Amino acid sequence: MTGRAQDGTDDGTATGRRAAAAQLAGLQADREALAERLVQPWWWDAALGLLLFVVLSSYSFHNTWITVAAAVPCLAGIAGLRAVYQRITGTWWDARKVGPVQGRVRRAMRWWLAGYLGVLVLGCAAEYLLDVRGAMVAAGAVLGVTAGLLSHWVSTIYVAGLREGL
Amino acid sequence: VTTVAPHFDAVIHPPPRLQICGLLAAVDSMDFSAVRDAVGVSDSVLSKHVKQLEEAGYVKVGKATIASRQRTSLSLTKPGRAAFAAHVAELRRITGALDG
Repeated sequence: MTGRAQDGTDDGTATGRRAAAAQLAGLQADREALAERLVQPWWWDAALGLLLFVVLSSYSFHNTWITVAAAVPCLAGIAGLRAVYQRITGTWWDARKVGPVQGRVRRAMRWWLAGYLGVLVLGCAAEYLLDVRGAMVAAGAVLGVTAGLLSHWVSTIYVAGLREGL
Repeated sequence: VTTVAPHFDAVIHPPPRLQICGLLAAVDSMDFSAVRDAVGVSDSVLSKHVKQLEEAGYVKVGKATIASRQRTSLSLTKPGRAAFAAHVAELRRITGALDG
C-alpha cells in the first residue's frame, strides 16, 4: 500500500515512517496510562471472595431457604462490585474476551473451574453424605480465597500485558 | 498467534479516532467521560469523532441510568476491533521499513 499523503503516513517516505512510529508510540503510551487505572483496590478482590464464601458456607445450615437467602444478596453484591469497579475505573473488561492475555486467562479459568467443581463435590459429599458439619464452610473458604487471588492475578497479568506493548 | 492483514483505514486514521479506538480495544467498554479525559478533548469534539466511528459501524454507544445518573459508555464492535487491528498492522508494516 503506497501513496497515502493525508498526514504523511506514507510508507514510501521517511517522514511517513516516522509519523507511523509516532502513532504507534502514542497508542502504547495510552495503553500504559490506561493500565494504571485498571487495577482494582485490594478490598474488591477480598469482597468477591467473601461473597462466594458466604454463599457456599450457607450450605452448612442444611436449609434451602438460608442458602437462597444468602445467594440473593450475594448475587446483588457481585453486581454491585461490577458497578463499583466501573465507577472507580470508568471501564469494564473481561480478560477472557479482550486484551493481551486472553489465552492465559481462559486456560487459568478452566483449571480454576475444574478445581472449583472438585472442591464443591468433595465439600458436598463430606457435608451431606458423611455428615461432616462445617465441611462446606471449609470448602467455601478455600474457594473464596482462590477466587479473590485469581481475580487479583488476572488484573496483574492483564495490566502487565497492556504495558508490554501493542 | 493470529496474523492480521495490514489495512489502512481512513476512518480510524485521524489521531483522535486512532486514540479512541486504541483505548477501546483494550477493554470491553469505557465511560464517555473516561475516554474524553484520556484523549484530552471536549465533550463535543469527542461526540463528533464517536459519531463518525459509530456511522462506520466501529463503535457502539450504550446508555444506562444508574442511581438516577445517565452513564454513557463506548465500546468497539467486532468489525471495529478487526479494522483497528488491521490499521495497527499497517502502521507496523510501515515502521518495519525503518529497520529494513
